[in-house]
Amino acid sequence: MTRNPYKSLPPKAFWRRSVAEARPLDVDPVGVFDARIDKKTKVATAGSCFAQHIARHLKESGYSYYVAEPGHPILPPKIRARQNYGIFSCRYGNIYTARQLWQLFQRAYGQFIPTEEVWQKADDQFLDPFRPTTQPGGYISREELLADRAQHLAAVRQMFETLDVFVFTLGLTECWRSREDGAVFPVCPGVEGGTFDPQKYEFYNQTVEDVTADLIEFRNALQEVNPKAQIIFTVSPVPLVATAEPGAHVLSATTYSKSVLRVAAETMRQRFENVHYFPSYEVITGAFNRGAYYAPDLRNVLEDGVAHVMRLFLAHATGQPQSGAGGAEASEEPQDQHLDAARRLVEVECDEVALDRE
Amino acid sequence: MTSIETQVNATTADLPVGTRKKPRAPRVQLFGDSHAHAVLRAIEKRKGKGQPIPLAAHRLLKEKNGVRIGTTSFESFLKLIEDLGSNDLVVSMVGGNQHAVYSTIQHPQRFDFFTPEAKTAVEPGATIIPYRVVEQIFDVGLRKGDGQLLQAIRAATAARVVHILPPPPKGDNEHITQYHESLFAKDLPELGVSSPELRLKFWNLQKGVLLQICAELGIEVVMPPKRAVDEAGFLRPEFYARDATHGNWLYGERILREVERLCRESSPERAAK
Repeated sequence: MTRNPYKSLPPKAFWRRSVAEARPLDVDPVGVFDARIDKKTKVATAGSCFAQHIARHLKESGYSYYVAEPGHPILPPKIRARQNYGIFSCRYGNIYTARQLWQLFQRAYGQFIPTEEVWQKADDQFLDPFRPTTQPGGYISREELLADRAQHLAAVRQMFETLDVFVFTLGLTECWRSREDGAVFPVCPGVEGGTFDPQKYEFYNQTVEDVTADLIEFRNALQEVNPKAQIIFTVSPVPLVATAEPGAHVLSATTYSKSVLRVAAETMRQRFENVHYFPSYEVITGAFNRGAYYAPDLRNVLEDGVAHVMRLFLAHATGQPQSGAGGAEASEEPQDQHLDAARRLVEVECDEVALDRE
Repeated sequence: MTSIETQVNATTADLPVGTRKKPRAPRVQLFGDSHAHAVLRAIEKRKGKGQPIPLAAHRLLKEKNGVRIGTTSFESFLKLIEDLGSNDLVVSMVGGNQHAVYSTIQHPQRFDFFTPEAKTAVEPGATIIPYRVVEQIFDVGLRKGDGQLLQAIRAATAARVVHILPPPPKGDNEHITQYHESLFAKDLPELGVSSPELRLKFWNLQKGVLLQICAELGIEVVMPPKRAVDEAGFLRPEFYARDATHGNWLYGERILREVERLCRESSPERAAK
């Protein structure tokens, strides 16, 4: 018998056995994944909107979802949620790009102080350019905004220094950058706040080298303040709502963005022992599910898809099989069940949606 | 039901009736919770002096630790005001102490917030809560509580409805320490009383939310009597009841005078002018 390297590979290395012929619910695209969490592991989250799902499921599954900026105890739970406390581990809103993450770290430690301080929308409405949708209605004054920002960045420092695992969902490569000091914004100035001025801002689409460099800077800086920290990267399966890349089609631009982010994540995983990659992107976008995990808008991810991701995530990260397949099973039931699943679409606030607002 | 309240209620329930020949004076019904107690006390004082009493006053009837407090259930009050006409007056003093819940005893995790009225410095070291976050707590809470009561009152009657804001906070922490309600007693020695500035911020915040709710409901809002409020916005000490938040009978007397002023506004003569 002819011997070759493929003969000894496990089933997951073969498309037919692990993807084409597997039941959709059984598809498990996790490759090498060494991160471990238990009930006491402090897991912090940040990233694009898909990261909100991870945070929510961790909470619901009884794991130690670490919130370093929970809001004052007088805030009732519903108000906290409406005011964006606990959506992520700190109240930083969506962090879409690697550059945004690295700048958050630098800002938290006073290594970078952007010149763009506030966006004033009305006499009593001030927005933080680096988290413009986090405070509904904005801040009532510049003083209030700056005080809350100082408090926020202190919480970010505490989070970085005391977390055990940092889960970061990479969302985009496209962003808008200050020509003056290179500060990047989560949302294009002029969309949620601020005024767009081409003399002040420029479009910046990160290359794989840029993303990797930013992630390396971040990883090294985090290790300095917290040597035991583990990092798990995921890539958001949510497509771009719009592209600003000249001449580009949004579908191709999405493929570019996600490809860059996926390569950068893999590069990081291969280079650093404390960096891991979890393939939530593959679970949602994989052809095996025939698009069943997307809502009719082909952007938002349905709860069944999130449940599939989190079942695998918890199984691999905890070493314990998870019994969370019930939700996903429903999608294979008759139409009314499918509609039920559609109704459970989790509304995730994405700042990006503002780009397509008419 | 306390003896004072029994007496006052029995005395005042049938008081303001119209005359037969002249245009009828407005009939006035007042309903409130604990802040109505000051008015009931003032009515008692007037009664002792043989002075006119311009309204029928009711305090929400409820049972606390097996003791009945108040005079009238909310449902009974709604029935009472059903037949009032547009020339009559309903005075609400419902609720009103939400601000004190947040700002009487110092929270173990000190907090403070900026306000639109004054860009006052916040307490150093205190956790900052953005104003719009605190505002939402009150907006949601008041709409579920006082807002529902006000809506029911507005819907129950054709009379003019006014809501009198609760007395502003007391600026004297010593007084609060000395006369706190038993509910707060256990935590006071350890935590202390919140700053007067924080109390005033919460009172103003509550005022703003109530103004909004009342505007939506078509209910007029009456500020606390000017004579009872000092330059900084606190309740003047001579109007303090012996507790953390309420006004005394003198404060109640000022409310009665406000009601008399409102009655003059509502009188047919004035309407004709």
